[in-house]
Amino acid sequence: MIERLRASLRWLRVPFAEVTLALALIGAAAVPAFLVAAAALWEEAAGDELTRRVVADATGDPGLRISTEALFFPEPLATADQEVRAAFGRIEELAPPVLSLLTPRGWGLVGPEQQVAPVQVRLLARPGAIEALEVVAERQSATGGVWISDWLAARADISLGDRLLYSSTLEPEEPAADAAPAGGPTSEFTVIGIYRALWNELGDPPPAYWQDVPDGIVPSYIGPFQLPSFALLVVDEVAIANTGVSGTAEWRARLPAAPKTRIELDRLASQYAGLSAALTVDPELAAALGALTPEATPPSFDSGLLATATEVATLTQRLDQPIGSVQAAGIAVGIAVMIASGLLAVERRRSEFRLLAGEGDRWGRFTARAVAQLLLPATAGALAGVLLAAGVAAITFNTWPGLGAVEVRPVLLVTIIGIGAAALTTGFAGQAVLGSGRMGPRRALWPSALALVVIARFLWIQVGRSRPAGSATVDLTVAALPIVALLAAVMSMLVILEAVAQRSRKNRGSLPAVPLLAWRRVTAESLGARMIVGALGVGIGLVVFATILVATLARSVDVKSAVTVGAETSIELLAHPTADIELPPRTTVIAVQTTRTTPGDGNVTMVAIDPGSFADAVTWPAEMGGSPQQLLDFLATDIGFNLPVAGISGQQVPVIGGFGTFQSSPFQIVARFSSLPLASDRSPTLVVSAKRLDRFELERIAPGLDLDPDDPEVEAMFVSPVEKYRPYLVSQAEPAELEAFLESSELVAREIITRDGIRGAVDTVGARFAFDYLRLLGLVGAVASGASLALYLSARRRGRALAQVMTRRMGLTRHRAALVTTLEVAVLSAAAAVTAALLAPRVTQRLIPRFDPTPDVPPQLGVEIPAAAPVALVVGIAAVVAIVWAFEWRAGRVAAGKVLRELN
Amino acid sequence: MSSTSAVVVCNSLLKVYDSPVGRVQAVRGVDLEIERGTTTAVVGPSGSGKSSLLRMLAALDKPTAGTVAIDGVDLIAAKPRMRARLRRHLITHVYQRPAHNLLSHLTAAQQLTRLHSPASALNADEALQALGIASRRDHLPEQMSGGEKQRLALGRALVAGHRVVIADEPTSTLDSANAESVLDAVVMLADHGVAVILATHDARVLPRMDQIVTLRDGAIASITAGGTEAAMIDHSGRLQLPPEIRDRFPDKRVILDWDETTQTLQVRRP
Repeated sequence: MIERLRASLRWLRVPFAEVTLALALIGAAAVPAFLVAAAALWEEAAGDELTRRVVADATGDPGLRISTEALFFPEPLATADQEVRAAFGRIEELAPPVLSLLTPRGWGLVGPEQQVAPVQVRLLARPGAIEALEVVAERQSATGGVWISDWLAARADISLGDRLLYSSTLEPEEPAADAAPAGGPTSEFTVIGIYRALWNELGDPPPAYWQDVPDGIVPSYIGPFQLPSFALLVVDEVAIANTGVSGTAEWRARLPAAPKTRIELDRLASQYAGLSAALTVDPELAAALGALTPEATPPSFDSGLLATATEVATLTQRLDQPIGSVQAAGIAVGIAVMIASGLLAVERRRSEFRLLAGEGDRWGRFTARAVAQLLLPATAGALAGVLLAAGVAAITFNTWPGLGAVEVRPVLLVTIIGIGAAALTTGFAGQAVLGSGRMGPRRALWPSALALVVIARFLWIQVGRSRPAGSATVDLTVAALPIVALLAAVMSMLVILEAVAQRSRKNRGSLPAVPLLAWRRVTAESLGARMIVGALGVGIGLVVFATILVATLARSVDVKSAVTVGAETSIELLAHPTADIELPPRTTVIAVQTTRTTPGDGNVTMVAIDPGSFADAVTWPAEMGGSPQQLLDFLATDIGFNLPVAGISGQQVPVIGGFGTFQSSPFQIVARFSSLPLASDRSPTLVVSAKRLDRFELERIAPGLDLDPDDPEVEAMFVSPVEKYRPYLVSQAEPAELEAFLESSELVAREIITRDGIRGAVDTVGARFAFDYLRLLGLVGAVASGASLALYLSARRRGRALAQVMTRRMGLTRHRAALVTTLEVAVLSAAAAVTAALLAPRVTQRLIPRFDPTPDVPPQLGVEIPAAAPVALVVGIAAVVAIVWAFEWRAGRVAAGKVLRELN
Repeated sequence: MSSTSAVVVCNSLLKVYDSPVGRVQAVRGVDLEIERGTTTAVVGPSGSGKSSLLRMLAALDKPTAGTVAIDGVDLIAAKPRMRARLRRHLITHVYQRPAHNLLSHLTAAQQLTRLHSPASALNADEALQALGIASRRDHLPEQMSGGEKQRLALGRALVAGHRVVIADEPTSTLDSANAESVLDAVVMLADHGVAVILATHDARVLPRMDQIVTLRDGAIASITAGGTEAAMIDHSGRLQLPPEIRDRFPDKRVILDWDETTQTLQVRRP
């Protein structure tokens, strides 16, 4: 029994008997586990990053606000306050809520019918409000009273101690549009304090206390006389609670620390939602709030956090498809490597399988035994894959994601599937070893190659057929295409290489011994060995492909950000700057308008540029074609009556036509570029010189006078058509510098966008996270290549040693004998890798539109081949050759007698 | 008609292979009976069908036609699962290369223990003792000589309780001393009631065998037992002549004279 147990333990140790085999199995199992774990960590880390960005950009208050209509009576208010505080208290992150009682706009009366001011008044009771006022005058009062602003005191001639009546029942002479419906009784207060009017003192931002008050407390300026929209009367809580006045009770709780991770955000949002539901579902809370008002108006619930959570959810959902697709393709690669490991385990231990099959073992036993043997290396591989995924996510997102984010079940599932696939392959291949005992015809590679070519062609057509819908659309076909296409190309190359090698066998003796032997071995390689070399080539090709694709997409984002912004910063202005305003250096004004063209009545975006400042101000990437000066030269071309304009290649606009809605201006396209600054993503874009447009308009108004639009006299009388365009200040300057300029020149900005902002925009960042994940496919390729190489070396261990011995017996030195095999592997792997690498740019070009986050912004970029791509190719092949050489060299050091004895 | 103690019985056994050069009749109409506790050598030139015949006898291959029964179980009717069971319970197959007969990661004792059957007369240690390699009990195959490995491979039959051992040239890679020790093991197996059938080119083997089956072109040319070589007439009445005699009949026609008194068959030219 003990002997049997020991024998079983020895069985389990078989995969670890050889380092290369163990590494290959661990590597193969690591690939799918890595991708599954990485996807979860990626989504988690990307979700956190997006959460931080969206939270930082959010304008809404992430705190929580509950408000309800109420009649201000002490007891119901106290009950409601208690219930609401208890409900808020269940969300630990929230600060204690502050209750504000605010009346609608009503009428303040000094005496029975004397209105206090030309404006309405509102009563506010809020803890700390009186302390947050700047006191002008006050008097002590045991019964409490009202505080009014110095502006109101002066305007209505009110002094401390005067009686002031608040009434919401008096019909206003000019009711404000948003005045609340009249309701409660009239209340009388004694004026006990005068404060400095808030609307005179509030800066931007306002003092901390007033940043947190209910909307509408701080009056705004209205009307031509700059009157406040209402006057604020501040009272203490006790005073207002005894009045029975109707108004709004609002509980507002701040969120001191914004959520930093998606989990925190989702948990908070969920708690908020729970509290929102409790307003109507929780009997005590609902009853307490309902008791505040006879109409039982449902309370309102509000928080900017919910919109933030929705936006983050939407953005992270966009990552799901590309990540899921790449993950599926990568898992397929990993499982394929595991299946290959199963095949090679049989190849490597052929005599063992033949012996066991001869003893009556069938696929079931082989499979069960393989499961037991794979369990340890696969578990180690899965663990390594998870750790690798965490490491890569940590490097990418600069934070250690923690292994808690890894979903154990999918990792386990994919590892079990991998073990199952490899074990079943081992089982059936092991049973087949017994075979007929006679050598059949050499198995041909071409049917597999042909099948792969057909599948690749199908995917190629599918990817081209599906049009992108304005954003990245990465599905399974997109993820599968590079793998299948590269595999098909490599297999086809191996078929061709084999055919060439077969023909060249007739050409005996024309090669020196080493290449001749290497070439003969290339032709005699087994199907398994050729498949492994193919996998090696695909692995290296995938690294090259991922490098090219990521570089191309990164460049695309960079170039398109330049097109969208025009320079480093672009500010949309409310109005055109006047001629006397001097622009900052390297700044220009570009005017944009969407209008119609004739013939065809299509939309077109007209971009009018200032020829004097344009060239220095804009950013012009090489991918746009030409240069700013060339554009200016073209726009200055004299083509007679028509306005010379520049268009974008490939966009459907008449070469000669007219633009404008009410009055058409004739144009002629004199040049086309790949893209132009401020090119639209919605309609074709034409660029025109603003000066030429002005001259054209002047000629239309006053034909033959040849008026110069820059002439001050003409300028004073002439309204340029460009004035109707939206003006953009486009500059190489920093936003802060431009903002200072806007302030000094009294120009008002509508929107400021920067290239950095676009690069960091959540939309772009989301797409970049998908690119980064795609880069993992390269890593997977590298790991798969490594595993394949390890399998290859393991499978060939005995054969390699024998080949060394035989070659040396033929008279070759150890050095030259090692060179034969190295050359053989180098020829095969280099041919496979180069084929895959050559196809990679073409596949990338096919896939770019599917990955581009802004596919409709011109230009449509060509493939960007970074230096890393050929480096990856050369390093990959060199690594393969070096490793094979090292193994060969080691194999050559084994004594011939030992090798031959091992055969027995 | 087979004898009651025959453990292997073949009738008109035929094996046809598909090969890259077309269909090949590897075995043609072999009739053979092997009894328990006997040793049989199958000899013949390369390509005469030795390996094909042995693969069928070892239940590794299914015959194309004819019958072959191992311990009464017909291989023609047996499905792959049944053939695997036959191999597990009845047959030990020994390959030519010693390294192919043992699992490289198990010790000598473990090689036998994993096969031990309750029905067998010997346990692993007893078998090792009987094979003369008890000192190698805890050695891995790579620490053993070729002869020791082959003896160990043959010894599997003892602990598994197998009734048939099929060995394909078990001494071909061994020196004389090792070959002798392997042949001792073969004889010892036969003494334990195991039928041993081995294919060989090795002249050292033949004197130790109970019978020698000579194959020629896939058919049995003769069977030598007890010093007498007898030509074989198969089920269809065919008699295979040695090539040197066959060549004396260039027109491929003979006249057969049967003398009932002397029980003599005479073959002469027409």
